[in-house]
Amino acid sequence: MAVNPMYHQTSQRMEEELDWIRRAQRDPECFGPLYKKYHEQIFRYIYQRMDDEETAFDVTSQVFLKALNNLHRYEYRGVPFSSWLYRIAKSELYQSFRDRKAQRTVNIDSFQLHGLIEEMEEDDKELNRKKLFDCIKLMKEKDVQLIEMRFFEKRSFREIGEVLGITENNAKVRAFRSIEKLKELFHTTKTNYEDQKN
Amino acid sequence: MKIKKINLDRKPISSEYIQKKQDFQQLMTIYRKQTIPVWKQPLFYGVIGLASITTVVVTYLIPINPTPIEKKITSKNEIIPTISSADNELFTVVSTESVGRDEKIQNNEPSQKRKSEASEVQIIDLDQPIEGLTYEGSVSEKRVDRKTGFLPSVSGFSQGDIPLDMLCNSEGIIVGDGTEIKSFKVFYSVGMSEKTQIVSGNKIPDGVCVDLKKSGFDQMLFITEIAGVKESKSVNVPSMNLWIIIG
Repeated sequence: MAVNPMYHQTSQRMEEELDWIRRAQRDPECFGPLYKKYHEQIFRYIYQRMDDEETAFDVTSQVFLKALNNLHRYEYRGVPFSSWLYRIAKSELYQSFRDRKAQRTVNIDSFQLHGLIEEMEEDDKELNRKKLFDCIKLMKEKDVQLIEMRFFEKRSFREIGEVLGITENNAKVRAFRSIEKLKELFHTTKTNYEDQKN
Repeated sequence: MKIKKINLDRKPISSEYIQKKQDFQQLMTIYRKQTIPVWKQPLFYGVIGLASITTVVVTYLIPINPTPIEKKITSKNEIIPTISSADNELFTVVSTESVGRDEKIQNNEPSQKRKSEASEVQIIDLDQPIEGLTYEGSVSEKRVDRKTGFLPSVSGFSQGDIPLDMLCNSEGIIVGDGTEIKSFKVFYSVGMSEKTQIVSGNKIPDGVCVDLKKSGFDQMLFITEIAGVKESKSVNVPSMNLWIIIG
């Protein structure tokens, strides 16, 4: 299931959204429609990366509070309002990790994991899963992000680009490089595991 | 950010459950309750801004103590010691026979007579009122009729404003008591620099007039170290400064 079914909008929806934004900038009480529209997807983005549900709701509230406080600074320049919200969400998420309110977690389901192992051109075995988890823990945050968004959240490259503030092409290249790094790490780890087995 | 944990097949949360957790009113309550730091409030900047502007106005626009130099320059009408190397210079008559050369005697005491070895020396204090000296005309006309006086003048001007042509087309520096001017020093501005000339005789040199005209702006002309001869005796004549009007 795609995490963000409402991401792709028609131009009419975008116009409607811009109207909401302008009204909310004049009167914060008019922020309601935007809150309602984006609350779920921001929550899922945050909850995907942490373990505790209540903390995820708290951080989500923080995101919208910060958005309200800084709404006067938002200016539409072809980037959807959601991208701006995601940047705030990322900032608040990492702040919660630094404040030790939450710990960085990767949540995967079996179906998504299977897809990733296939991408790695490996067999979906228990050993490979275990090694894959270990490799993910060893990877840098920026690479984990790309793998999460592409394989676990099933986002398009365009969405990934807008969330990270990069072009769609750049998102493709980065995602490709992250998978290559994971493969390299996996094969190195595989060698170690085989040595131990032997 | 180090990965602490990986969860496999965590129980998903439904959209309905997430929507139930939405609470826009609570968000607005928290938003309204936020306290703005004092330094971020508009009133703070209003007060600070006003104080800053007041400070700037007081510092730069209201003069507190005019400089002594400005006072001297603006005091064109006063008979004051000239801006020269010898301030408070007194007029002395020194006998060349007894002394051998000219002497300057500086003394702040009122008019007094002092006897030298060979002759009587009269010291006149310029700070004291001088008999027979009057101002004529308005502030802009500072021409003084003092042909009988002992102060030097040019075209009748001893101090104050004098048109350039009157300076340059005059008989030169004249002292009313018959003192013959032998030499003097003239000091004036040329562009960004200053010029000093030692002149023989009593006439303002043409070169000085040309320089003054070229400068194109009104300025002070200092005439100092005026040496003269009266009744075969060398005398030092008081300095004078004139405000030259070019236009």
